Amino acid sequence: MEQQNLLEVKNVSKYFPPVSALHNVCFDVVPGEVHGLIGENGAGKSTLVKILAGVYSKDSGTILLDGKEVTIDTPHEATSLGLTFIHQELFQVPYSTIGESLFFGRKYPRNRFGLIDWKSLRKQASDELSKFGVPKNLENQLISRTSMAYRYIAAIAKAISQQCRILFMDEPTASLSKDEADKLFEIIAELKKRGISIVYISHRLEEIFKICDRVTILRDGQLVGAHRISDINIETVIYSMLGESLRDKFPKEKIKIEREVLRVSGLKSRIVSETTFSLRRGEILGIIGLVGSGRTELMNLIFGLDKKTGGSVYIDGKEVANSSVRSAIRNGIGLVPEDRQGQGLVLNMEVKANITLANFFKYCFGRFGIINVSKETKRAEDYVDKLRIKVKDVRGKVAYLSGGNQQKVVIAKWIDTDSSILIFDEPTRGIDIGAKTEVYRLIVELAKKGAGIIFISSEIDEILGITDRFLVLYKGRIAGEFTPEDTSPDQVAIAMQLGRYGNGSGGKNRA
Amino acid sequence: MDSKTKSISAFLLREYSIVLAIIFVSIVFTTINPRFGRIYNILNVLQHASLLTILATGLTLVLILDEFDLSFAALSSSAVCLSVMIVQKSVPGFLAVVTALGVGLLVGIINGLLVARLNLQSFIATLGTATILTGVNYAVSEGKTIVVVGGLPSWFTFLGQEDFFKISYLIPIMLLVVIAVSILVKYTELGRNMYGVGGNKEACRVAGVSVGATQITAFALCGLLASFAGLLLASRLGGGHPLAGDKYLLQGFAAVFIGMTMRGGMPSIIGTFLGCILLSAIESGLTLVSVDYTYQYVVNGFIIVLFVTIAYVTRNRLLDRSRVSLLSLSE
Amino acid sequence: MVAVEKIGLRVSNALSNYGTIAILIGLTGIFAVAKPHEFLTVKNGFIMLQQIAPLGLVSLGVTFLLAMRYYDLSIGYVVSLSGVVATTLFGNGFSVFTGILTTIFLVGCLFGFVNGFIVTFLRVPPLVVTIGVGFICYGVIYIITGGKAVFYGIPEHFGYWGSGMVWFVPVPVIIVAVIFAACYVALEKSSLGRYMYAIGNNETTSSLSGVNVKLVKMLGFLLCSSFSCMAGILIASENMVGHTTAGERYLLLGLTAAFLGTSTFRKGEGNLWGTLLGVLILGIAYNGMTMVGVEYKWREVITGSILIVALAISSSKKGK
Repeated sequence: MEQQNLLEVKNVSKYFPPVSALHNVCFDVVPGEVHGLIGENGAGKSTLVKILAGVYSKDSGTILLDGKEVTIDTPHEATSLGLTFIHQELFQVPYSTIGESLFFGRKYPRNRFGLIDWKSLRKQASDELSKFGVPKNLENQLISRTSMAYRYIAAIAKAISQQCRILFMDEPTASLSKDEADKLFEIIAELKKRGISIVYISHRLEEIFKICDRVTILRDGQLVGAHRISDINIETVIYSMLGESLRDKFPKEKIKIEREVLRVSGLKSRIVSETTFSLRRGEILGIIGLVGSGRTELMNLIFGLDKKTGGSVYIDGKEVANSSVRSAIRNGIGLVPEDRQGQGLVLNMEVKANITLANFFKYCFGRFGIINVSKETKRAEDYVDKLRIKVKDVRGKVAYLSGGNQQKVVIAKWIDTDSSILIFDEPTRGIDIGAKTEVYRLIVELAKKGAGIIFISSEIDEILGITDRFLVLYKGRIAGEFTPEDTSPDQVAIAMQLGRYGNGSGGKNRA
Repeated sequence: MDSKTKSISAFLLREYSIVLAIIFVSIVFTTINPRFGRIYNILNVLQHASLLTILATGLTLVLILDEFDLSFAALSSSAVCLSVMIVQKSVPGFLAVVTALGVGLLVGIINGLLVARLNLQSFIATLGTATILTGVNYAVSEGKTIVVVGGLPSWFTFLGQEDFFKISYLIPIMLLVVIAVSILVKYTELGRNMYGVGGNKEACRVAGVSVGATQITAFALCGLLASFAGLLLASRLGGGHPLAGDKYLLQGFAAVFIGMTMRGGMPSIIGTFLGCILLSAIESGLTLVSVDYTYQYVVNGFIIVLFVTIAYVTRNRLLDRSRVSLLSLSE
Repeated sequence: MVAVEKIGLRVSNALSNYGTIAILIGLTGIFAVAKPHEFLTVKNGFIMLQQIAPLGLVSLGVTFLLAMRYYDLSIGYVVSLSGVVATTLFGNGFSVFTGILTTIFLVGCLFGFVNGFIVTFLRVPPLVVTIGVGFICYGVIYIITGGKAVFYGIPEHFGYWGSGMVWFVPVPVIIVAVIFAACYVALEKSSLGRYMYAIGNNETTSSLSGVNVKLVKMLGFLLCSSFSCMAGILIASENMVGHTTAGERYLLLGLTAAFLGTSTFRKGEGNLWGTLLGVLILGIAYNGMTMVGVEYKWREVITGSILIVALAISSSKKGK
């Protein structure tokens, strides 16, 4: 059943010297299909999409729409051709309203004076949004105050209202909960029925296999395979993505768990309710919860970023104040933050500078002293070796590294501080599978060396895979404490969603 | 007070804090010297604020874009000198006006080009422009006040010095400018694009909004308004001084920053307007309270810093409250 | 890529990186040709260095702040105020030594502290704070002097700092050279400098990595104001007068020199060699202009133009 290709990308290449981001890539889309586009970070998915979106210009190759060649030089041209894009960052203006975002960059409804007719705009926005079952009055809410899920729906509404024929979604579920993601899949199914094609870019293979009809795999800027979903399975895909097969996703080792290193008792703040838990050396404690469940807020309290309103924190048995980040670090706590680039690295500085940043006095003579450059370089190179960071020169800027390697630099920084408590906040987000395994391995190694690890994640399988024990947070309090051996993913999901766990055993009910 | 009432009153307090500040200051000054509260003085304050408002409104546009313009004060001085010099030469009147406005527009466009096309940081680029303009002002006027023999023609000084039932003409002009620019910002695509560029440049590129064109336009408008204010200033002073407009540099920025306490921390036309009134009230209050001339600078500067600090501290506290995720330490 | 495009790219890259140095060479060349016998002499060289010594100090101070992506617009007034305060203290019986120290403390450290405190702890943008504080400075100058310059009571040997000589090298040049070396060590080779650059590039990460951001910022402001203060003392020493407007041009000049410096060496960041380059460019420009007889009034125009031209040349264009 040969369908006319709606979109055809033939031998497109794009170079960012000295790297070739795309090389002779071919890609096509037929009407009414959901086409997955997968590959590791840096494989070229985003570059291809940005070329089609008119943000980048291709260096060679042709793009055909309905069989006719087209050039896409600006985003407007892309839109007029029926290609609409929802990028990973969503690109909405924070201080404008949802309703306004639907019209940003397009023709606003005007009144007879030629001025923007806000009333009409709000009505139109409301109409568009209501097709998605959103709360009333969403169109008047500020973007900065709206949840990612609704922002995503607004982006979809905008795309549809622009007569799109192919909708490109780049990592849509990155910031969505499981429920919100399911809702998204429903919407995608609806769109498909209406004849709109979806190009779905994601590295979450389970999703790809759930909703896509076909899949195209890129690796290192080149096309590695294009298949019907019915013809392949997850292992082959992983093999194509990595070039090697991957078993043992999670290194499982039996680590000797020793005495208690951290105890949190009755800790609370404006957002976090009374929380009590403990962590022991060598233990990997997981924390999972929906977006907004208070995970980050809890960690802020422990790391000295927020002020507590009650309760206490004990490290190695002694009570500590932890009123500032610096005191927390002095007490032996380290944090690998969620926003790798914005909070964990100084992108414009050298790799070695980043590695040594948290414990810099070690590399100086005297307190406010002169830098011992050779010591710094040597230690950085040691870390690069031990952690297998792919970088040629530690004096290069850390901005040029891939996501996975950047994360390793952040981890190296905290290893250098000899922290006894390490908090990892979504450490594998946005990293390809190969690097993920490396990060897991590192974490286990750190636990082996006697650190207490707190592992925050929103991926259930990750938590079940790597932790010794984990807590589920719900609306600012601990809903339950579980062990991976005795808990099924559904039970975790229920606890995350509802704040209690269902009928099965496997956890201590804290609700 | 239950929590809903609390949050509503907190909201009101925050949004209208400038108005409250104006009222507070007025009460303080009137207590010390009852002449402050008289209609005559209120009109005086408004008139005093008018030139600053026109300047600051233009500056607001640039600040919405998340850029700086350090040259608007020097530019208005240039307009002062330029227009006076041209009028001196008995050239058809409107030529002076057109030239001054044209120069303002031109400098604004240049600023915009430096930022948009050459990717220069606006702080540095406008610093350079300001330096050049100040130099030109000095060179052209030999550092002295330009005094016109026989005074400036009456049609020129009409707007600046005459009044209409005691209401100076500058006041309605100021209001017109404020209203016009408010309409621009809220009801035109250009205005929305300005907020867009200032809020998220990448979003604009992806949505097809031209970042460069918006920037150039904003700077151009700022320059235009600056020279317009300069014309009015010349009209009011009846002569030209190379540094006539320079003092507005501090006050202009202060007004916009104070105005940012409204509308959730973004620069806004109405906020700037109220900020100008506040600053003008303080300045004229100080004069009326007979603060010694030598001390006026210090006190005025001190109060400006104080108010902007208060404005920012409250704004920071509010931003802290609404933040749920990891603390962002940049302002 | 087409060959012509490649050459074009090479040229613009070269211009981008070395354009400012080219300006320095170009300016030197222009004046050397215009006044071959007077300009290119060692004696004139030292005269020029002496002329720009205060500017050098001010710009160095600004560079520390610039590395953290901050700025200080009160520097001009601090320069004036320092000269006034120092000479007034002398008039009131302070010795040269105590007078200078007190001035540095009262003016440099105090204003640096105020600026730093409001910007760092109260998180108010430096633009308004430093302009406002500068205003206050201006007012204080007036209060102290009543508008007149401070003439009398200045001990003879105070002038040594500004106009003395060691061999054939003017004392101010030595002072600035020593301080420059110290600043180099501080900014490029010490933890303080490392922290400053880290904060300037990503304050959030720096803070989350345990850097004492507040302390470093305060130090930056303290250094900047203190350096401006020292420059003011130097100027007063040279002229043996406490002038009320001695420092006004240094606001624009100091910032210009430091910003010129961001156009090369470390692109976009405040850096010492760049500042040195900027100071030299301005020094040569002013020295040459005096020699050639360019009228006083056109000098600022030229200064501003140099800044814009330098920045324009060195701006890099990012392709799609």
